[in-house]
Amino acid sequence: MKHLFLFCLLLIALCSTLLAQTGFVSGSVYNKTTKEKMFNTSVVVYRTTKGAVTDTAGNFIIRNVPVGIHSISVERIGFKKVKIYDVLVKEAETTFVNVFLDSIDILPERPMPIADPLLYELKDVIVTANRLPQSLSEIPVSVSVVDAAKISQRHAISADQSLRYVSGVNVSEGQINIRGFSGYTKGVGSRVLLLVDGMPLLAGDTQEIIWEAIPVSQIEKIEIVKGAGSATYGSSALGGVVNIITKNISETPQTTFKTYGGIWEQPRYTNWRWSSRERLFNGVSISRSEKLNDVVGLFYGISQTQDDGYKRNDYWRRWNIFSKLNYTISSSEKFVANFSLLNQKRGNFFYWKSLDEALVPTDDQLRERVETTRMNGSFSYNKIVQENLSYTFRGNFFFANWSNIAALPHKDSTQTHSRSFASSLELFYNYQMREQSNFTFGIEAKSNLIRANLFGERNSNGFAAFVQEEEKFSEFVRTTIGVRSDFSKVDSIDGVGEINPKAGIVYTPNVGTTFRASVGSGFRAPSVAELFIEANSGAFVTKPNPKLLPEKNWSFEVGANQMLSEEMLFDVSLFESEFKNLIEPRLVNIPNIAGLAIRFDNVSRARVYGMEMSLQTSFFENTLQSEISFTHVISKDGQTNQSLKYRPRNLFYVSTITNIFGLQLGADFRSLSRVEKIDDEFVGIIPQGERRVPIYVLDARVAKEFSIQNIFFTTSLQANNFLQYYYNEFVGTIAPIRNFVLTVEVKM
Amino acid sequence: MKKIILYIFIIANGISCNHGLEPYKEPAGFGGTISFQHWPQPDTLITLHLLASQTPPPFGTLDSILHLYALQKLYFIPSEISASFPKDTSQISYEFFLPQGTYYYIAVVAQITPNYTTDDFKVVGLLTENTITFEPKKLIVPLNTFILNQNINVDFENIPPQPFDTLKRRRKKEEER
Repeated sequence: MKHLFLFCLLLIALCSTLLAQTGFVSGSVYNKTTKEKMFNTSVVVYRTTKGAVTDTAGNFIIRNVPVGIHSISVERIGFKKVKIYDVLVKEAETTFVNVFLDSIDILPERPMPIADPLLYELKDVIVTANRLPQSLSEIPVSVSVVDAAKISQRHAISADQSLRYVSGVNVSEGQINIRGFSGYTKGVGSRVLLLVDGMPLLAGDTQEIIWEAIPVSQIEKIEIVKGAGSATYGSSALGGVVNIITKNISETPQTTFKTYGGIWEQPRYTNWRWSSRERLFNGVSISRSEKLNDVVGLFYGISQTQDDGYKRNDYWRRWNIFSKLNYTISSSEKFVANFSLLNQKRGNFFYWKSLDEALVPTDDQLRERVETTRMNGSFSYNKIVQENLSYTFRGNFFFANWSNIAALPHKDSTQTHSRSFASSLELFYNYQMREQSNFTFGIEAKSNLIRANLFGERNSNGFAAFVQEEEKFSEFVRTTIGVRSDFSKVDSIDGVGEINPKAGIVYTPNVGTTFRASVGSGFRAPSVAELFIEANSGAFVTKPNPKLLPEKNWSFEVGANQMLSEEMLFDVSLFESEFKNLIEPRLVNIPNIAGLAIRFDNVSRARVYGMEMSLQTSFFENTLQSEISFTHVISKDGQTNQSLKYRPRNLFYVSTITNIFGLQLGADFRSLSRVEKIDDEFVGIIPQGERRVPIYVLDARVAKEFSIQNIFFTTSLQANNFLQYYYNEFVGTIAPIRNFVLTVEVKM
Repeated sequence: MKKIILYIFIIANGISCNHGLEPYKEPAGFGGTISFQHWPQPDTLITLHLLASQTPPPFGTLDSILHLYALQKLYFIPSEISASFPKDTSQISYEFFLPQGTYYYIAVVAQITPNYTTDDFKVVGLLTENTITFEPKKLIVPLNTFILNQNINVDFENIPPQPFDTLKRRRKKEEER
């Protein structure tokens, strides 16, 4: 692998030497309506990796632009993208460009844009990595972006489905695993932090990600930051950060209606056919985005989705209500509020009866159903105090109430239930001390109230303070350093303090070439569920462990990004993470219990390292676009020297999309090597629990767009798991089998 | 690019023939050890069988053990126990694979003549709850489950009550009447 990396570096260095003469592009971006300057606006030199984001005064400067005639692309969420042609750049001179942006909704936005995907990540404004709007070439860690078009094209019913083809990421049964840092944690204690508009959204009791609580139609884009992020965001970010950015309000009223219907194909093996009727799934959503007046905008919607389930007792029925309020108090003050509500009823399929009846659970699971209500609200107040100083005050809450009900012969009996209320408040400042320096600092407070018969009545609180500085040492070098201090206390357990630093450097020697390196630490405080769970459900007896310590890690990364040609963008990174006090469930002997019980313990030190490569291409004037990525992950338990659980060694993804004869054709293929290590504890309980295979999944789709009198229609037909390949992502449960989906979306 | 597309095509073609996980039925059954005491003279014993019945004894008036097998769900271990060990051995391990279900009578049966009538078989050991009263142990074999530690004691000088309603016995009963 060392040789490969050296080869990549040499390749990049060679390309770099071919490009030498450069100049500058500078200017300002204005709101065409109000004539005010606009900050946080992305400005990119087309067909290069060079770009910038306007500062708080609405100005930008792009350095190292190759001499010649260029096109400049200017984009900001909520505004029409502007492309300026024939911008002449002379050696060592500055070309001035002023840009006026108009609202994006003079005409409804085309539903499925696929233009410029190659440059999308480079020109996009990334806000997650450093709490600052930055272009990708300014960030010292690996970041991937999934935009609304990709989500829409793949007909993602929940947000996690749209992450399945992100380089270095694999999603197992709804749990996200970035570069093998997470594994599978069985619904408790996510090692990846989920943010919605920058605010954490993890269940208060289990600290897991609840994907279904996030309406897909509300998502503008998803940013995935790889590597430990606790220096910026605190607990749970030791395996990375996923930030879901919600859609902004349209300048002109826009109504979107979407419906889909699908069918699960009968399994090819008669032993697995448990239902005589077809298993269907469908959904409908309607949303509207409008500005009520010059300062107030609203986005609201409702969706209803349901799935019969291809597995017995794996059905669900779901309602989502969501809204967003945007209040522009003045040109320097903005208030945004979000609210969403989820009501869900579903069956419970935990593991199969046997591999001979792989789509049927054991009899005790057949009696179970789960009812859930979750509410999420957030607000954000942003004020530009002066040209170089702004602050954001924001907060959120996440209320969750779920019951696992087991039906008895004559009445319903509530078996387990949990009610939690998690909330947080945050205040942070962005201060541009001088042109080359950005300073960010802030404080955060968290609270968590839990009432559950599984975990007891528990309270937890946490406080944090963080600071970071981004410094441009020269035209070529940019550094970031930061540190965060967290203190958390759960119930009567002694409080725990954590200090997590980070540092990173970006070196841009030439246009289209970026080197990056970063180091950071992360931690995850154990969830209330891991500390206090006490359950006896059928085959599993689970016991509490209030002595659990936080998991910790240090992660390192070096990487490079190179524009190989106008059509090809290559990225490579080497990464490593050293873990301490990993929390894993294991079978232990506990006094007064006949037999063994499952308990969460700090079990081991571990090391995860590997390499990630991706190549994005765009040929034939963007009519054929593709992305290929390969990730190689090696994980080692420090004590046993065996692989860690649920870490596939190789991840290989291919995505391609093309326009032919007015049709949009797309296909995604993923191949994941067979997981080497799983939970031996479950293998002893679940029949054929040890059975697992490599994963090969092909999803294919065809879509057609058309418009009738400014009403835009998109229809698509998808075949998911087209090869009808049966695999499992966790012990004893078959992952989604082949299914076909017809989707119709109307925007007016 | 062409190579990549070709590679993907080859992978897809290979995968289309491989459908991943398949149904798998783990054989159900039970196993343990059989202990022997007081072996008889070699010429008085042809072989030994393991027998498991889903109905409790007595096993009717049938005179063919094969017929008995068909009607009353008696399962015999496929190979003869005695074929692989000297008759003076004191203990062997065994595994008995059979369909899931409840088994009311599990026994070691000695075949004492080359014929296959119930008169040619003699139960010499029994899976019991109680070794003194020879009360048969009811064994439930769940789907895909193999039950361990089902140990049987065979004492050729202290054999259990015979479950077969044999022709000889019937004739003897009729003569007594």
